[in-house]
Amino acid sequence: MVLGALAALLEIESDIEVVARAHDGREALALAAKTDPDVVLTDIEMPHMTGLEMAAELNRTRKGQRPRIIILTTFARPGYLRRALDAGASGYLLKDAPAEKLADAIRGVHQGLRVVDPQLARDAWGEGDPLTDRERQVLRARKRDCRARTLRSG
Amino acid sequence: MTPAPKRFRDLGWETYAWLIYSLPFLFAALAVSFTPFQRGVMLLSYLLFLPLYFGGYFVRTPAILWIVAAFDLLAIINGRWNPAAATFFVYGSAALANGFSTRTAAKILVGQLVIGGLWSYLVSGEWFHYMMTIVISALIGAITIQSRAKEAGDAKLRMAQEEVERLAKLAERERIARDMHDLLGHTLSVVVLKSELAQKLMSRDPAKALQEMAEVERISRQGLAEVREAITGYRSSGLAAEIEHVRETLTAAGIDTTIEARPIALAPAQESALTMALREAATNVIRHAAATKCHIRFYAQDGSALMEVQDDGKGSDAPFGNGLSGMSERIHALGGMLRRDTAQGTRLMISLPL
Repeated sequence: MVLGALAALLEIESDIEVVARAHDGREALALAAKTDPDVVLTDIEMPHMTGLEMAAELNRTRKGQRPRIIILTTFARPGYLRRALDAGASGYLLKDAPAEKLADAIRGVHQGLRVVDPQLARDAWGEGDPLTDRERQVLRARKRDCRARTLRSG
Repeated sequence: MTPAPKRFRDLGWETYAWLIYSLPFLFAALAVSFTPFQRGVMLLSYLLFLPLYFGGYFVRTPAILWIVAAFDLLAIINGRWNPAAATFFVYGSAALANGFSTRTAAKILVGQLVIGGLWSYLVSGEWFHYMMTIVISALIGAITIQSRAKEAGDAKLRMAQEEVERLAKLAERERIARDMHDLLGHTLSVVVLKSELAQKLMSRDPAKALQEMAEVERISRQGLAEVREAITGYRSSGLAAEIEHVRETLTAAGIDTTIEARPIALAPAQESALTMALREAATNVIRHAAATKCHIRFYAQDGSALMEVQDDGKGSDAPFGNGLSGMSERIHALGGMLRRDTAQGTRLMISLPL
């Protein structure tokens, strides 16, 4: 349903034509190979192959920079932005972004820009390492001591 | 090993009670005619014994070994004159439990018994004397070691239970987050897109716009129903609680109720569906059946979980009301089956795949 509505919304834009629709990552790869799109819009959670896996696969096998990949998500899971960029995505947006924003993003990445939703970027920016270096050291030392104590008193 | 107590206040009354066993030594020291030197040594020893004894409660490995050795020394020094000094060996054996794991403590205890036995034999060749020392030291030592081990075991069990509770809470939160993601996230995304589309199509293709809005209505309503169900699931306290509740309610309504329930492993969605179905069935029995007896059964058979509610009232072939049809939909959605049999009274049978 999201697929149909999104496609219908984008088709309204005069400079955008939806050439294929797929329901999972595997189907998407097959159709991308056949229809050679400029931009691929993908969800993350899909059966058979997730959007991130599909993007990584596309990244591996494509020639040059086409197609550009935009990843859409409903809720931003921690770490997904990083994985999306690592998989070669050019865009990371919310699924319910207004159609104009989506269309602009498509045009943007087609020209080689990177487009990331500001809110998602802000959320991901805050996701630092929850542990400081010192805390990590302490935890490692504690782990060593625990093991040693078990050996001694056993 | 259990952690050491922190303050004097943490010591129980038994700590003071155990001091009784040191009194024979003290009384002997005071009452029996010893030389002033001997009496002096004995009294000094007793004065040393006290802090050693209390210290033994606060100290752990390895310092506790010093305390045990000190006890043994007191016993050896005083034993030549005052046989009651054997009690110090026993105190030493008891203190062992504080310091070491069960196995190590047991080994050291054996060493302690050897020392004690040897000393008793040397001091007075009487077999009675050193047997007593060995036996009592062994007994007391073993008892304290065992009780410490039990304390440690209990503490571990408590921690494990707390961990289980913590993980269960975490799992519940995960489940709620997942439900919100699946139910609300998807539904609202679709609503946003379709209503956006409807607005855009309003001027150029009003028929399509109308169609999209009708879809929006349908999807929103469905989403609301799903959320409602999820919330009922979170609120319900589980099938076991519902069974007891139903038992009370039916009995209070004057219906002779018997319930046969085997514990069956159910998925959360199945458990909440059965919980609601049970409540609905019980309500129907009370309201419509005019029954005197009701029998409820939960069991597993051929890869399905089954629930049966049988009453002896006036069965009715009337079409399913709201409650029953809602129940039937939920059960079917989970891949299960619902059947009503009105030959004798009413028999409701629900099965869910395991």
